[in-house]
Amino acid sequence: MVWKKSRDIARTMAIKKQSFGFVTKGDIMGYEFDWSVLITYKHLLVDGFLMTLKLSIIGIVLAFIVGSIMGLLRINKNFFVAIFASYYIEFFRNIPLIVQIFFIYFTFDILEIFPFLETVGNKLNIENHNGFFSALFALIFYTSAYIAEILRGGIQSLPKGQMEASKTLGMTSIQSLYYIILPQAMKIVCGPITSQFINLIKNSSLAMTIGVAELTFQTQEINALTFRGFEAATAVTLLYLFLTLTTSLLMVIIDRYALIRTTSISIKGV
Amino acid sequence: MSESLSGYFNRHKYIFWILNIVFIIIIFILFQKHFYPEANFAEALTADNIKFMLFGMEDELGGLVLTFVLAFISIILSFIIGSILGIARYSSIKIIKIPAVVYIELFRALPLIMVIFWVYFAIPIVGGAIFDMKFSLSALSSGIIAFTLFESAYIAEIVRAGLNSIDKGQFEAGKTLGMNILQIYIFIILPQVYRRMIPAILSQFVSLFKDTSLIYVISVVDFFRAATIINNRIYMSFEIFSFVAFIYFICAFTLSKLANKLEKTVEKQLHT
Repeated sequence: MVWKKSRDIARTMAIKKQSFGFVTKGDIMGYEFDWSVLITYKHLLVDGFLMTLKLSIIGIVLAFIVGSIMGLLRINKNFFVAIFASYYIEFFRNIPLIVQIFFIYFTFDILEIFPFLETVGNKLNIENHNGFFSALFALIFYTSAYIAEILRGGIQSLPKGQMEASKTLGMTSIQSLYYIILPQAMKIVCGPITSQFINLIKNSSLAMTIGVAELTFQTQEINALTFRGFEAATAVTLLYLFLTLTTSLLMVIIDRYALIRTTSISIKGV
Repeated sequence: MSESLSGYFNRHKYIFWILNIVFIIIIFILFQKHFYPEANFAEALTADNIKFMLFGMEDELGGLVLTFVLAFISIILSFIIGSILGIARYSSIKIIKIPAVVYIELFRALPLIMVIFWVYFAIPIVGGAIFDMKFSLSALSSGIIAFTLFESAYIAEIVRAGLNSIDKGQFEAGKTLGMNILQIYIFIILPQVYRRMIPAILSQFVSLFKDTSLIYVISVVDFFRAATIINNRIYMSFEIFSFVAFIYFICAFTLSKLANKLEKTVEKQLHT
């Protein structure tokens, strides 16, 4: 009896599977797939994709810069500098990103504090200035704290003799950092930093909670307009996969070609 | 001077932490005076509001308690599923390995918010089609499912790393003793893997604890949602969100310090 029932379920599933696929219209699982919405509303998807790209690219660049500075300050010999950097890191690492976004968005008028952001935003073609920059700032704070911690771990994992050897060669500490320590540390931390970049791309979806029109927001928009959440969510999922896979591919390329070259250059330079 | 200072603080940790707390309070007060002089904490954080944020409504689970419950249930479930996936990922049989790889890579590439939406909107439809009946999920359980699906991909990677760190000879030794593959995993391999994994799992718990705030999007009244509800009512965002950030910070910071400490202990045990 049980066997028969399970076989029936398997059969219905098989029938349903047959009709699953890129049928433009058809009754599947009691839900009619209609992929043509994606074509009708493709401008929404494109806008969302561009917005996610803007958030991610600016966020990645600035988070990497801020994170590197904070990571270097964290290992500074000066106690107060190091403690300042560790405050920054622990503070932004331990508060959920969504809380940071809400805090910045609802409490501050960013355009009032940084008036120049208005022109930047206009150049970037953004409608919701406050939302965009709140999300961007929160993303930068959150990710840079992680990057700083990773960089600190990478630098501290190098043997101490490296720094001493470069000091013996008469380098200043900035020179030895630039030519000796960082090229090696970058090689070590490349993997974890890539995953932080990917996390930033993924986390940029949180900007939808304050009304920034990026990919996830557009899914909801299409769902609200046409009641076709499934199709939109599939498309957006594929777009996110594309973004994250491209990022990791790019980082693999950087890891394989650029980082080795910097090492060899630094050796020649010495 | 600064080196002697750090040495002094290393010897007297409690003085260091007390000074830290004082310093943080001073920074916060200065920040508030400069950016938000009109803040009124007494009005925003009344006993009722704080009670609502920490415990939710009278007769149901909610607030910070719900956040902890959510994180705890999800981490346990994803620990089980993640272990299975991690072993599958480690296995050399392709039929087992490839689905695990696809699952892990897919869920690590998706934003958590998308996973929550998928579970919340898609599972009722798919489940209803498979079982041929009305199939509904509460927001809370779909949140737990989403967190489990998402987190188990990360835990699977941790398990795989743990498995990689174990000597292959142990499998062979187990086989020589006449154990089958299940026995080898349960009695020999997994206990060692888990011991190495504990710190990583704890730090994963911290990140899950922070991520549970995303259940906000499907209207479950967890800590963050409760705070936004109050904020929508009285509109005192500075006071409320700084309170929320403070509580989240204390919980996450304590847990992550605990994870660091455990990591050091485990490392010490492994090297002796």
